[in-house]
Amino acid sequence: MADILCPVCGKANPEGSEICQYCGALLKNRGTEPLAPIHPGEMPTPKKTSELERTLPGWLRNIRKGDNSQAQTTASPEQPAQNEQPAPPPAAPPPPPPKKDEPPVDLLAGLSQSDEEEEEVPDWLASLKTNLPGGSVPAPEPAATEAEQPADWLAALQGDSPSQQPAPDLPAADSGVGSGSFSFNQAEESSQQASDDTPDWMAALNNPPAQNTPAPVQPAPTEPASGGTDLPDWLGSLGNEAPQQPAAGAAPTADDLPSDGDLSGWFSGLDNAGSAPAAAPAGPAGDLPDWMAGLGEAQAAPPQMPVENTPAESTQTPSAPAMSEPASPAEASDDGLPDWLAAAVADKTSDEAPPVEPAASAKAFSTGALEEVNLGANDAAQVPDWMAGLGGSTVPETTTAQPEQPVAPPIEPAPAPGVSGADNLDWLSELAAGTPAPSQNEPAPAAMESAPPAAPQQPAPSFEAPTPQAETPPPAATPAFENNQNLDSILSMDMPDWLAGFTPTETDAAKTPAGQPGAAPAADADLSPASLPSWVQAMRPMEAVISGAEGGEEDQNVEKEGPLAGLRSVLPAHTEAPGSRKPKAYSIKLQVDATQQAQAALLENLIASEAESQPIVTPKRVVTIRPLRWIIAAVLLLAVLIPAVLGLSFFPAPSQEPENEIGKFHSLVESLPDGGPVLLVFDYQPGYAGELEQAASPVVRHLVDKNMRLALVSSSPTGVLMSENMMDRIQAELSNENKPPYPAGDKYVDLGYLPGGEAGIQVFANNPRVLGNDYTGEPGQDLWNTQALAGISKLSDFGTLIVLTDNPDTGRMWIEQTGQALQGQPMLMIVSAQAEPMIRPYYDSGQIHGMISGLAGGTVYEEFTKRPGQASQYWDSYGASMIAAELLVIVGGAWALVEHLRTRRMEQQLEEDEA
Amino acid sequence: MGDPVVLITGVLSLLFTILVLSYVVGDNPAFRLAIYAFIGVAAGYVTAIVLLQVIANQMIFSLLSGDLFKQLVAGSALLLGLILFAKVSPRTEWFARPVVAFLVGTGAAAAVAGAMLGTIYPQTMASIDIFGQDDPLKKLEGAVVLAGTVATLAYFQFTLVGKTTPTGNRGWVMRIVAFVGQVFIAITLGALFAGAFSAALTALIDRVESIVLFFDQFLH
Amino acid sequence: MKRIFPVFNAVIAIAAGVIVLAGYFLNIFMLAEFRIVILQVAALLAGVAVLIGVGNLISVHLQKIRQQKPGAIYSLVLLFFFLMTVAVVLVANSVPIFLPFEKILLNGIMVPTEISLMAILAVTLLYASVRMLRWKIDVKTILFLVTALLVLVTTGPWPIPSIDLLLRTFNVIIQVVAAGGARGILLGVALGTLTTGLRILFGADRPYGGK
Repeated sequence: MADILCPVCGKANPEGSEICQYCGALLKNRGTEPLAPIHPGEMPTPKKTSELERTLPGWLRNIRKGDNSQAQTTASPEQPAQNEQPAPPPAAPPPPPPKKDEPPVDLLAGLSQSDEEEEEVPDWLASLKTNLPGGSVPAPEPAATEAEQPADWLAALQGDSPSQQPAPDLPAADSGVGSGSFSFNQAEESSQQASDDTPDWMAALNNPPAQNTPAPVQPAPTEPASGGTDLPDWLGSLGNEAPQQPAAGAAPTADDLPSDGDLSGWFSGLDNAGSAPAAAPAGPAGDLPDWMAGLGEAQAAPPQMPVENTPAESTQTPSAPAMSEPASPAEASDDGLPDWLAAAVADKTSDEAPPVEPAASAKAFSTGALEEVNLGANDAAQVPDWMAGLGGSTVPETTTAQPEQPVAPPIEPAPAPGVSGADNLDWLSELAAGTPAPSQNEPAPAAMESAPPAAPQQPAPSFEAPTPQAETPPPAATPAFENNQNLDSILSMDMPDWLAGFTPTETDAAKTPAGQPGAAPAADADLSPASLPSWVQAMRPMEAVISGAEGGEEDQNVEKEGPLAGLRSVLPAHTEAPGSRKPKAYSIKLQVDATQQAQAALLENLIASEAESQPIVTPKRVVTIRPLRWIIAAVLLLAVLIPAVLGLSFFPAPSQEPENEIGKFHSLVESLPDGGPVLLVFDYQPGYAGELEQAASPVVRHLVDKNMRLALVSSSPTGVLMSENMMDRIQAELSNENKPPYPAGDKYVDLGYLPGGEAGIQVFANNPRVLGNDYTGEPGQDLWNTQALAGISKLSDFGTLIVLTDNPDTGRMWIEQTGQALQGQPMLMIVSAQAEPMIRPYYDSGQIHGMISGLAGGTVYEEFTKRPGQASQYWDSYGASMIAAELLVIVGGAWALVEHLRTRRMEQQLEEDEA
Repeated sequence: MGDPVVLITGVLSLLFTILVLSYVVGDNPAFRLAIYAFIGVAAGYVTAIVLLQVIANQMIFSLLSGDLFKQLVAGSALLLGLILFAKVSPRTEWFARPVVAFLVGTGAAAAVAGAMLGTIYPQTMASIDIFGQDDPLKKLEGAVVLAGTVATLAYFQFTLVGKTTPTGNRGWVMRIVAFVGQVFIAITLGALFAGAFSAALTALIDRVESIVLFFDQFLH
Repeated sequence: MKRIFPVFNAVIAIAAGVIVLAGYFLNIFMLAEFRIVILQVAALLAGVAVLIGVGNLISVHLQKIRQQKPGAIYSLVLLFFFLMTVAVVLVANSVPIFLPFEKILLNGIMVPTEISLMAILAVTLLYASVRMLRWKIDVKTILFLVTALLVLVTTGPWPIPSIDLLLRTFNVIIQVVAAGGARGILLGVALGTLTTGLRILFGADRPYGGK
C-alpha cells in the first residue's frame, strides 16, 4: 500500500499521496499553483488539504518540511508529556477505525508538528482554530500532554473566574482546560505559579486586567482582552467574551509560551518540549491553536478517529465549545476524567492504545493536525481527525464506532482558583455523568444530532449550554451563542491567503462525507459570473468547519449570494447577542404632513394622467373657404386699387398733434442744428419697405432739407439695401425738384452692415469707428475722415439717433445697448405699425423721445413738414382698404358668430334627439 | 421709363409681384418659383454684404491698416472665424464649440446687461412714476399702465406657494389678477394684430401702387 | 478629452460673459476696453456665422439637386439667383458699371417679392379675423378681436373729420391700455432674458454643446 516513502520520516505512504500521512512532509514538491477559480455563490467543493497545498507559498511548504523532520523528534517526548497530563478517562472507548478513504494527508498535519511553522502561524490563527466550532476539530487529546504546566497556569487563570464560572461549586477545572481560558482574572491568583519562562503576556493573564501591563507577546489564542494593550482587538474581544463563556479554552501553559512574546519562540518551546505536551490543555482548546493541540496529541495521545470528532462538533460551540460541552462531563463522569484526559493517559501508557474518543467540545480546540499525527502513528490510512471530521463519512462513522462513548469534553468548565488538576477530574466526571454520550446510531449530522444533552447536574450554566445546533438543553444556548460571537469576531478578521488554504480543507473534508444537510448548502444555480481567486476557494471551506460544528445553524450567517456565498459567519451576527437590547422599533410609516401628502397626491394624479390614454380629440378641421378668401382679397384689392387708379381723395389728412409722439419727433428734428450729424439706423426687412419707406422718407427728407450730415448703418445685411434705396429715393425727389443731389461722403455716409446683434450694437455704441471701411472705395479707406463724419468720435456726438425698424426686438436692442452711450442725446424711432405697441412703453418711459409708426405716422409727419409725399398718396387707398377690412371683420365676425351658434344649437338638438 | 434699368426693374417687380400674389388663388409653381428666386437673391446679397463689409472691410482691411489694436482684433476674429467653419461638418463641429461658446457667452452677457439697464430698471421706474404726476389724467393713465403691467406679470407667474401649492391652482386673488392680466394681454395682442394688419395692408397698397405706377409710366 | 472639452467650452463662455457683463457696471482699468475687444471679436464672428448659415442653405439645395428630389428645379433656380447675385454684388462694388445690375436684381426681385409676401399677409390676417369667431368663442377671443377692430377703426382714416377726431381720442385710451400689457410683456421678456443669460453665465445652460 505504501508506495511512497516519506523522505523525512521514512514511512510508507499510499501511492498518490502528496503529503506524508505521518509527518506531513511533502512527498512531492510542487510549485505553487493556483486553484481553478471559482465563482461567487458556488458551494464549497470538498477539497483535500493536499490539493490546496499547492496554493501555498513555497516558504510555507518548506516550513512543513522542517516540521516533518521534527515530528520524529517529538515522538519520544510524547510520553513524558502524557504522563504529566491528567489521568485520562479509564474507560475511554476506543476510537473507531480510521477511514482509509479519508484524505490521507493533511496539510495541517505537518503544520501541527512543525516547530518552525509556529513561527509562521500567527496567534490569531490559533485562536481561529480554537474558536471554530469544535465539530470539525478533533477532541483535544493534547490535553494528555504535559499537564502540570497547564494545570498551573490554568488554575491560576481560573482564580479570578469564579464570578463568571458557572457555579461556585463547580469542580475545579483540571489543568485549566476549562480554565477559562478567557477568565483571565483567574490568572491573577495563579500568577505566582507561573514559571519563569512564562511569557509576559501570559504573566499578564495572571494579573487582573487593570494590573496587566502591555504584554509584548503576540496575542495568544486564549489571551484575554485585559491584555488588550498588547493584543489585537479581535483577541481582546475574545478575551472580553471569554469570561462569560464557560472556559472556552485554556491559554497555553506558561512554559509553552515564549517569554518574549514571540510566537515563534514559544512555539518552538512547544516543540522543544517536544513531546512535552505543551499543547494547550484540552479544555481551552477553543483558544488553543489546533496545531498546538496536535502537537500534544501527536506526541502523547493516540490518534483519534475523525468520527469521534464529529459528535463533538455537534455539541461544541465555536469558541468555547468545550466549556459548554455536556458530553465531556458526561464522559468524564464515567471515569472521573474527561475522555480526552483519558486519552491522554492512555497515550501516555501506550501509543497504540485506542485513542480516547475526542470530546465533542474538544473538537473545538484540537486540530486535525493533532489527530492526524495520531493517525499517522497508529494507522497509516488514518485521516487526521479534523479532516475526518470534515468528511461527511466521518460523522456517521464516529457515531457508529462509539455509540455509547460520551464525547470527551476538551474544555472543562472554568476551574475554581487554586484547584488542582486532580480536582478537575472530579467535576469533569460530574459533567461527564450528565452528558449523554453520542450514540453510534445517531444520524449523520452528528454535529447536531449526536450532541448529547447537557448534563442535568451540570454545575454551571456555562456547561449546560451546548451549541445551539446541538439538541442540548436550553441552557446551552447561551454559551453557544457566545461562542458564535467569538467565531464571528474571529472570522471577521483578515486572514492571510496562505492560511485560508488550511481551514477550508478541513471543513470540506468534514462536511462532505458527513453529508450534513446544513453543512453543505446546495449550490445555487444563480451564481454570479465573477470568478474568485483560488485563495478564496481555499478560504471557503472554513465555512464548512463552522457548519460542521454548528450543525443546524447552517442557516445562520450563511451567505447565500455575492462573493461570500457559501461562507458562513463571515459577517458578524449579533441577532441573538445576550444582553442586546431590543432594537428600537421604528415605524415604517412615512412621516409626512398634510401638505406633502397633498403634493404627493398631486404628483400621483399627474403621473396617472400621463399614463392614461387620452382620447384623441380630433381637432376641428379648419377648412379654408377659398371663395371667402378670394372675396376678401378682391375687396381689399378693389379698395386699394380704386383710390390709386382714380386718384380720389376722400380721406382728410390726419390731424397734427404736437404733443404726441409724432409731434415730438418732428419737434426734435426741427430743433437739431442744421448741418449737424444724425445717425440713421436702417434695420428693417425689405418686406416692410412699403410701409417704413412711407413713414421714414418724410423724416429723411426733413433731415436733408436741414442739410444734416447723415451716417447710415444697419445691423441687418438687407438694411444696407434699404438705406441705399432710401437715399436713392431722396436723390430722386431732389432730382425731381431740380435740387442738387445730396452727395455721399460730404452729406451722408453709409457705414454699412454692423454684425453681431446686441454685441455689435454695444461695440458701435462705445466706439462707432469700428465701422467705416468703405468697401466701395480703396481698401482701408477711413470714412471717418469724410466731411459727413467730421468731428464724430462717439455715439453721443450725433445729434440724434433715429432707428428705423419693423421688429420690436431690434428696436429694444438699440434702446438697451445705446441708452448709456447716447448720454442724453435723443433717440427717435420710426417703426412699423406692428411694432408700435411694443415700442410705445419705451416712449412712455422717456427712453425714446419720438416715434413714428406706419403709414399713418408718415402721413402725419408729412403734414408736419408741409411736404406731402408718397405717404399721403397712399392715404386714400389705406383708408378705403381699412374701412373695407373693418367691414369685413364686422360682417364676417357676425356671420361666423351666428354660424357658430347655429352649429352649436344643431349639435345640441342632435344630442337631445339622440337622447 | 426711358431708363432701361428702371424698365427692367419695373417689369421684374411687376412679374414677381403677380407671381407672389397668385398665392391668393392658391399655391402654384409660379409662386414657388418667385419665392425660390427671392431666397436665392436674398442669400446671395447677404453673402456678398458679409464678404465685403465684414470679411473684407472689418477683418482683412483692418489687418492691413497698420493699427495694432485693429490687427489684433481682426486677427483674432479671423482665426476664430476659420475655426467656426468647422461647424459645417458634423465631424468637425466639436472643434468649433469653443468659438460658439465664446459667442454665446458674450451674447448672453450683453443681453443680460441690456435687459437690466435698458428695460427692467427704466420700465419699472416708469411704472411707478405715476405717483409723481400732477395731472390727474396722467395719474390715471399711469395707474392703468401699472395695473396692466402688474397683472400681466402676475399672469406669467406660475409658481405657487402657500396653501395653493398642493392643489396646483392659483388662489382666488391671483386668479382675479391673472384674469385681468389676460385682458390686458388680449388687448395688447389685439393692438399688435391690428398693427400687423396695418403694415401688411400698407405693403399691399405699395404693391398695388407700384403696379399702377408702372403701367402709368409704361403707358405714358 | 471628451470630458474636459465641454468644461473648457463652459469656461470660455462664462469667462467671456463675466468680463463683458462686469464691464457694463465696473469701470476698472482696462476692463471696459477688454470688454469692447471681446464684443468686437464676437460681433465679427457673428458675421462669419451668417456665412455659415448661408453655406448650410446652399449645401442643402445642392444635395437636393444631386439627389434630384422633387422640387429640385426650384433649388436650381435658387442656386442660380444666389450665384448671380453674389457675383453681381461683388463685382458691382468694385466695378461701378455693374451697379445697375445689382439694383435690378435687388429691387426687381428681392424687394417686390418680399413686399408682396407682406401683401398676402394682409389677406390672410383679414381672413383669419373674419373666421376667428367661427372657430372659437370665449372672452379672450372676443376681446382680442374687438381690440383689433377698434385699433383699426381708430387708427384708420375716416372721411368725416369729426368722427376721425373722436376715434383718435378713443385710440389713445386703447393705446394706454395696450401699453400696460405691453410693458408687462416687455418686463417678462427682460426677466426671461435675464434668467436665461444668467443660466448661461452660470454654466447651467450650455447651448453651445456639451453636457
